[in-house]
Amino acid sequence: MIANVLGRMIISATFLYAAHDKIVRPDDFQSAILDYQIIGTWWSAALAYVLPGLELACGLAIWTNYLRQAALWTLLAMVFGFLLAVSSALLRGLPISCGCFGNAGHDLVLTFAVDIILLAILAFLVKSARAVPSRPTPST
Amino acid sequence: MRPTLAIVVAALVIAVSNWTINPHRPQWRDLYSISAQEAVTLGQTALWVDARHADRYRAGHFPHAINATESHWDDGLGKVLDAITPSTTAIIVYCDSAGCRSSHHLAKRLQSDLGRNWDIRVVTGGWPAVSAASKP
Repeated sequence: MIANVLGRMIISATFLYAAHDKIVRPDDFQSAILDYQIIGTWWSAALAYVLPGLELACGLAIWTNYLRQAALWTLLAMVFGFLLAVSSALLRGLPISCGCFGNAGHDLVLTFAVDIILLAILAFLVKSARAVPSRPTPST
Repeated sequence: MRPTLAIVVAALVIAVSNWTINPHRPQWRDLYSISAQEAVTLGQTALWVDARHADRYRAGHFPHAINATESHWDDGLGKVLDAITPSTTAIIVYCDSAGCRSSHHLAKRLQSDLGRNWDIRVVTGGWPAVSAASKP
């Protein structure tokens, strides 16, 4: 139970913090996305708006324990995607920073390690979510 | 499926709101990166713009690169306009490191002030990558 609450706090705080700088400066976040040289300018602009939106929505959902399971699965898919992007950049030897927390530059190897830890916490929360039910959604 | 849809809709509402009210908009096109290797092969056919602080520029920069920063934009734009010649094929901008954003901001200002016909590129990896790529 304590591990579950702690995990939720870590995940929600991490993604709320990560969303903040990106929402304030979507132009900076787009530059970070472009540095990965995976997608083009239009898609990077779209992602620069949508990804922080997802991070904020999921962070709030997990914090408030409302739609928690859906938010956990969404974040699990996102972190998996981040891992693929970081791995690709590492394999290509791109001299870039991750862009994960706005302007604060982070080493890609460190980012890879952090993503693995986040993935493990998310997997734990998804698994334990059955034991701790989410607040019921209002019936229509 | 419905809770996931609710999360996605919430994210889209946040995204559209941010797009509507935030002045720091991303470029939907024309912001291109270039690798340091590729940029160095362009050599002096391109105009090189060093977007770092003047002290770092004085400590070392790409040959013939001019120093321009957003904080002294009028002065910087003037220098760029003076340095452009009929043989200038592209403008290459770099800043301190892989994580720096001043080159991107400067490139966007240049694109906005000079027009979309100019091929303006930002070097991936910044000055360390340019410095390494220009060593024989």
